Amino acid sequence: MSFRRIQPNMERQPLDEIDELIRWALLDSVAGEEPSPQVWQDIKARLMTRSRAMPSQSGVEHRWRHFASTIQAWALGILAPLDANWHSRLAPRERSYLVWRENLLLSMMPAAALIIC
Amino acid sequence: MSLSEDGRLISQIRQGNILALEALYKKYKGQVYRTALAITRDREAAEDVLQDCFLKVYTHVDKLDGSLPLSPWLHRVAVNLSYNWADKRSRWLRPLEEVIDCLVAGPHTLPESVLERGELQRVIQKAIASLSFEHRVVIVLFYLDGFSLNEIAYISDCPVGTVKSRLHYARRNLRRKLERDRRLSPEVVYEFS
Repeated sequence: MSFRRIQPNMERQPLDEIDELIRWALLDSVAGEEPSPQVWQDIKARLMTRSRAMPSQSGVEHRWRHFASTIQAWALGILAPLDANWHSRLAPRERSYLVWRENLLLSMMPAAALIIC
Repeated sequence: MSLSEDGRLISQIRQGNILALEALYKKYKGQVYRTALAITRDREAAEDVLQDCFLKVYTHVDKLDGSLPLSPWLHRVAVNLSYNWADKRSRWLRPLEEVIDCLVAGPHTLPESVLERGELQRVIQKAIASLSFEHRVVIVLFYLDGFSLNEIAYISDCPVGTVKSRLHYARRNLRRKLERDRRLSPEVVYEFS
């Protein structure tokens, strides 16, 4: 099923009174409206702030991401055998060790930050 | 400014050229702002949408395809941002606004002789504003911006069939509201294929 009468072409004559009214009301409601010049100033200011605040991706951030992913892989590698062992022994409701594993990983993050510093 | 000019500006923005972003901003600011304004009916919100929209152009410029028209992408972002604004606002402000509307609204059956152009326009705008967000977006994109159904489907992130359906029901709701207020002649039967 498809419309045959409504077309998006604004140059065409209105097809029905309702189309004419909607278009007229919408166009009139925003006629002459422009954003204030301050909007562009704000955009520019935010971009400047952002570029000053962010070091380049190839520098510190890149090294940090690489180091963090290495630490994560290392920690998961150590915990994997324990994980499998505990998982087989514990009942579903007792598997709160998963939470402890998350906490352990989180607690390693400050240590990693200290190493970087 | 041609489409390839947009592509050239996008590639310059990728290199961190803010002047290129400013050129794009100047080209599209009016269109995006007026669309956001028609959807939100709030100048401050429309300016926030415009601002965030162009910040997203800068931050997501690597994902932009310079060979495609930029306008639908910008409108897609603007509609999403408007939706977020409307969603936040509806949780806190709409109930209060509805109460105020009920208190200050006049009788719905004014004689036609006293209706003036401004009054008719106010009634239509209020009827459009009373539509659901999805219906209002489709109406604005179709009638104000003149986007095709396919473009509206991309902007709204839904199938073309859904756009047709929303347009049909939004239009029917508007017609009923205006007929109820005796501002419109009886409905013309539409052909479907």
